[in-house]
Amino acid sequence: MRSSLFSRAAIITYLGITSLLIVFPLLYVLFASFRPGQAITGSITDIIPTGFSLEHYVAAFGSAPLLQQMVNSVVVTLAQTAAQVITALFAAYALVFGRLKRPGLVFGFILVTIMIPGETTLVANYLTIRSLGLFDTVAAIFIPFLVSAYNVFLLRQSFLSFPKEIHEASMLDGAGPMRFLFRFLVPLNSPTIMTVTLMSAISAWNGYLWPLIVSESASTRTVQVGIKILTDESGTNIGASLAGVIVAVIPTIVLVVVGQKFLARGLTQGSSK
Amino acid sequence: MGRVSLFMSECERAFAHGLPVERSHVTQRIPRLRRTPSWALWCLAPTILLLLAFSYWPLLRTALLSVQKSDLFGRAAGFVGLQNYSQMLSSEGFWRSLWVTAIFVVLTVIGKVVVGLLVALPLSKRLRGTAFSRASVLIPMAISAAVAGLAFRALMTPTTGLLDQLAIALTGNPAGWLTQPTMAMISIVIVDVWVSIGFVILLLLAAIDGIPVDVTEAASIDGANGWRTLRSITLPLITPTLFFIVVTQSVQAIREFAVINVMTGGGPSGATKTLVFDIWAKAFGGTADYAGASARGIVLLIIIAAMTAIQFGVLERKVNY
Repeated sequence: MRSSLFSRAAIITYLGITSLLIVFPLLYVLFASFRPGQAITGSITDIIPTGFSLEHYVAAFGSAPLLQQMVNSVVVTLAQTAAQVITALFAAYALVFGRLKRPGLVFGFILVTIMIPGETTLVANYLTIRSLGLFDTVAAIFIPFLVSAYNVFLLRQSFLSFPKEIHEASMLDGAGPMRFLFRFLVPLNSPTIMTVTLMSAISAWNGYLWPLIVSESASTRTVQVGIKILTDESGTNIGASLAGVIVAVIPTIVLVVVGQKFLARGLTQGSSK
Repeated sequence: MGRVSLFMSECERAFAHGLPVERSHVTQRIPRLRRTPSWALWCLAPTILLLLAFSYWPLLRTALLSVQKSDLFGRAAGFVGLQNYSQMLSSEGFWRSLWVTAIFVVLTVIGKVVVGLLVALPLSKRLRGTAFSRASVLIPMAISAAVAGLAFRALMTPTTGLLDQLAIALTGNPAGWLTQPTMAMISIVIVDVWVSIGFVILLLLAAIDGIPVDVTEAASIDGANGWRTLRSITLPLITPTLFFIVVTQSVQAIREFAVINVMTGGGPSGATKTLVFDIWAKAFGGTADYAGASARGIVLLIIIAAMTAIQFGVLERKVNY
């Protein structure tokens, strides 16, 4: 690019300011959560860190069962992510290598569910959870989401481009179907599996509507619902709830930063060029 | 969703290159192996069963609930035909919620596309010194709508929050970010744009990076300036992505709940009560009107399914120059 030095500097400055504005809401909360005394003072100095104290964090972990709620969120995220990846792995494997009679039909059956919004089936799923006796349990939060049709879709697409020669060779060597899956298919498709895992984990951690509905007591809530309720109850001193916000975003920020390139890959798939 | 169309083109490409897609060579050569092996069925069973239990069955149950009465505790109490629907259609609140949803969708989608382009276009030049910007614009992707709502609630704290300070400095009065009807709508739009902006920028960057360099070079040799290149080359070539963003983000905005629940609770006086928020409010926000919620759920299903169909229909034909 032969843009002049001046316009280059202008673009860099512009981008610096825009990206700072984008991350600013989080920085504002971060600074407030460490501010001694009143978290939000109403002074212009709120936009920079002033002082350092852990009192709001102590209050957050003291006033609500925040630790328990973090544990709940971890359990939900691990269970839901593991299930969504494993079920999708097997389903996509069968769809591509299973010699099904009507693979298109089975795939359609799975894919159509993407079109059913969870808000439509909210009441019905709630009633199912109630009749299973699972209301107000941590299990209720992830049980309806053990399968992700979108994961099946992404993995299937990845498997379709798998070199058939390797499949043939391993079959001729007498490898069983599970051996082929775990010795060849999984390792050679690990980037896609990473993408799918990350996306499942982030959405599991960030779930809100469903956990709000199926949990009633503070000790079964996930951290997302927990800090919303903490905020509603804390009145004017929101320091504790802002500390909770920071605690709640750390895991997913780490995932996004670490897994940046995998996410870019997975999310841009489908926006066809 | 839109991903399906990509899969279709993937298949077409594979066929064009003579690669086997659905069946492997082995299947075609050894007829003995044609039969579906039992392991494949075992592999599919968990997915199929779980989808039946938590997607298909609840869908059927929602349809059934929508044609029954529900008592005070939400229990189904006898079939009433289409009465729930006629009640819904004659209720002012229902039409208001559709209107609120429409405004919310239009404003957020415009916001996302405009802000997305304003950031993605200069970022795509990959100038040295913009790596930090590139990484930090993705951060919102990590943040849940609920938590983002809480962060903005802090910024909009009456009189002391930074945004309200700003409003006071500019107009002399608190803006009533969450308490004044129009401002409440603007506030939830801002938060919804913020939550999705990382994803939108990522998609736009991928699309802009996908434009062949020789096309833009040819344009600049022909003497096109920056604006002209943008209008005649870049924008037309990324139309499919823009379209994809418009549709998926519309669907996302229609389904938004967390932001509204955290920020305004549907208020003030219903100004931010969208269809989805209303479904929740009917069933779980004080009343247990499962019948009314289910009827609205079916309306939501129709809207989302129609949008998905539009997406397939138009993307197949490739919106391009």
